[in-house]
Amino acid sequence: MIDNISTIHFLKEMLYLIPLLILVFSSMIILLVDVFAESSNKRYLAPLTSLFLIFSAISIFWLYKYIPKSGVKILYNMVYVDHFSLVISAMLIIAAIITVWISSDYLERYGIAIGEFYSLLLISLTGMILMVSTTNLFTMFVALELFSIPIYVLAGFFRVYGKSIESSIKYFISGSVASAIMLYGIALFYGVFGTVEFSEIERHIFNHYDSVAQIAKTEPLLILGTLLIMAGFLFKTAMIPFHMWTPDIYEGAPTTVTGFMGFAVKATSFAAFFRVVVSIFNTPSLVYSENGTISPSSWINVIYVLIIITLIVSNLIAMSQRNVKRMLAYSSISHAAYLMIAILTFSLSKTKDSYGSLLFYLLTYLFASIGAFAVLSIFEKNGSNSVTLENLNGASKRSPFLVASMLIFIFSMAGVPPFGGFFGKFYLLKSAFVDGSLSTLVLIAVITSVIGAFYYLRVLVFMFMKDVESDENIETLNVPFLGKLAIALSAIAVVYLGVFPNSLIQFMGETISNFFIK
Amino acid sequence: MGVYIFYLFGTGLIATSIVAILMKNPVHSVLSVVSSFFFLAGIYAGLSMQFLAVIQILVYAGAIMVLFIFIIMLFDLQKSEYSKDRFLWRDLVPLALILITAAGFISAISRSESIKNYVANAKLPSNFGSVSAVSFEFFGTSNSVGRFSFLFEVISILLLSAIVGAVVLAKRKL
Repeated sequence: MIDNISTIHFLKEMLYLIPLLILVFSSMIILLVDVFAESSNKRYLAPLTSLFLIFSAISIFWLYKYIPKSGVKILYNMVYVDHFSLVISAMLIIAAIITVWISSDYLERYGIAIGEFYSLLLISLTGMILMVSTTNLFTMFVALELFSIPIYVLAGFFRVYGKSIESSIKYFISGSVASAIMLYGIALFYGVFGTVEFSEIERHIFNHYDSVAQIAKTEPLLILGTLLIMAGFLFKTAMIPFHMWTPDIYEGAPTTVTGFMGFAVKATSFAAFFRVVVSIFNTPSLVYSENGTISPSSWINVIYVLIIITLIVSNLIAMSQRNVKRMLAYSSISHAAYLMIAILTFSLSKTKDSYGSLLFYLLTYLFASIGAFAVLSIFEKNGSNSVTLENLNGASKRSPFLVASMLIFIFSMAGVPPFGGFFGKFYLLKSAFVDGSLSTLVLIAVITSVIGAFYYLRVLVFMFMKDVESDENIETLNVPFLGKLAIALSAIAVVYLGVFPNSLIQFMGETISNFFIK
Repeated sequence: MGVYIFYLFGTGLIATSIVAILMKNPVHSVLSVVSSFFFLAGIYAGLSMQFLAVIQILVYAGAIMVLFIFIIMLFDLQKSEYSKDRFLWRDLVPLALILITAAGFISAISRSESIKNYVANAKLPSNFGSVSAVSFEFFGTSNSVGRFSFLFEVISILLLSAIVGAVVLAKRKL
């Protein structure tokens, strides 16, 4: 039991939350500015938001230098700030900055350039950062809701389009059910252990149980809780068969929101799931049977089977999509499977090589995915809120800049060297292969990524080789300044990650190895 | 004595919940759900969680059910609209799944050792479940901070975002 902490000490500990505080206050400032600003001045809201985001990013860099490598537990162990959480937070803030830059012009085109968009985005970002910086199941659940509810609203931001409203309602209902399932799992954990703190749960499991079989006999609620919490995460990361919501919601939501959602929700859920795996699920008695082999009823096997299903099914369905947003939704499902392979590799092998692959893959996915959605948001025809392959006909004549950046993003996602995505996949699969027990999985992943190349490259075929039938939409596209900046920087980042991956992979590996400092 | 109170309210809770999903008329369903909330509040009170029992009635039976009834009123359903659906054999699949899941949960709970331990040596603090105990956890005392005060503040931001979101989605002209 922790002693009561005094008010002054509590406020001092809040200093570690300074990136979050900046985000919360700026979201409220933007709400107020939006009320009092003249409507002609509202285009300054996006630069203002990105300024606050940059402040928050600077405070993250400062904290990174300031905190010890083992991290700090603050506020009655409710929040745990360490290098891992700061690295993920920095990625999320970069994603938010790119989204804000693209959204400013996009929203104006649709006539809904209002401050609530940025405010909700910032609150959602707050929840995401809180979710990755905690080792407490209560905080994790509250943070999950804190980032989900603004995202539900942002998905329905185009209130005049039926598809947008539909995606919002669908996401809200299915997301709430998933949260409820996860909450049931948390409640079962609390019922069994009387605590929701990761380290105490781990100690309890380690001291009281030897193998999965023994847990199943004496404490079946523990296995039930594990499965329910995992189901919540699998929903948020959109692994098949928990993926049904993804294509509809990615299609209906405003395209810039889709880009943000596609990366940020996924990255947050994976980072939080990674923490849960490292701290709780990886306890030997939850994985192995008495003779030291992986128990057939362990959670590892569930994930293993789901990865195989996800890899095959998502890539096959993506091939038949004509709507590019839906296609990218299925591609994001297949990326989730790759990230799951990284987590599985991490929990099965203890070599240090596998450490960096999860974070590096997330980083390459960040720029490629948000960049691709940013390009689509500019190609989008007014009044349809969707992009089909035919809409991209003759795109290379309309805007060579956009098509060149799309080429980089698509090549990166398809895993073509020398772009970032290739090295993300390469390191991930290499460390999975070295381990040996996952070689079947690696084989399937390689085969399905070849299938994936087909539908990725088809986008480029439509952009470069097909011509428009009529002359009406040959006019060149006008790319706004902030949007151009965001897309150009993402493209440069993807190329940089492909050309100089080593130092970053090493950095990511060191971040993960901090988990094991006691 | 406490056990009998539990069985009384538990039976009522299960019965009203089943009635809620079997009723064809949505108003009848909602009324049945309201009574199930009261039974649940009774179980809480029987477990000496007075504060939770009061909140259950205030928030759920009070605020949330009013919303439900309002929405059903606004839909203004005619009898022909809700009495059409009839029993289909494919309805049995989800029913079977639910029953299997429920059986799994019941067997897991009945075999759980930690729950047996709780039953064997349950020792509650004297002010368990009272308003003062709950407020101590949330707000602390005059010179210390409660354990959950941080989460309490986070939830206030959550509610703010929900309000902003409701306005954004529902306001006629932005």
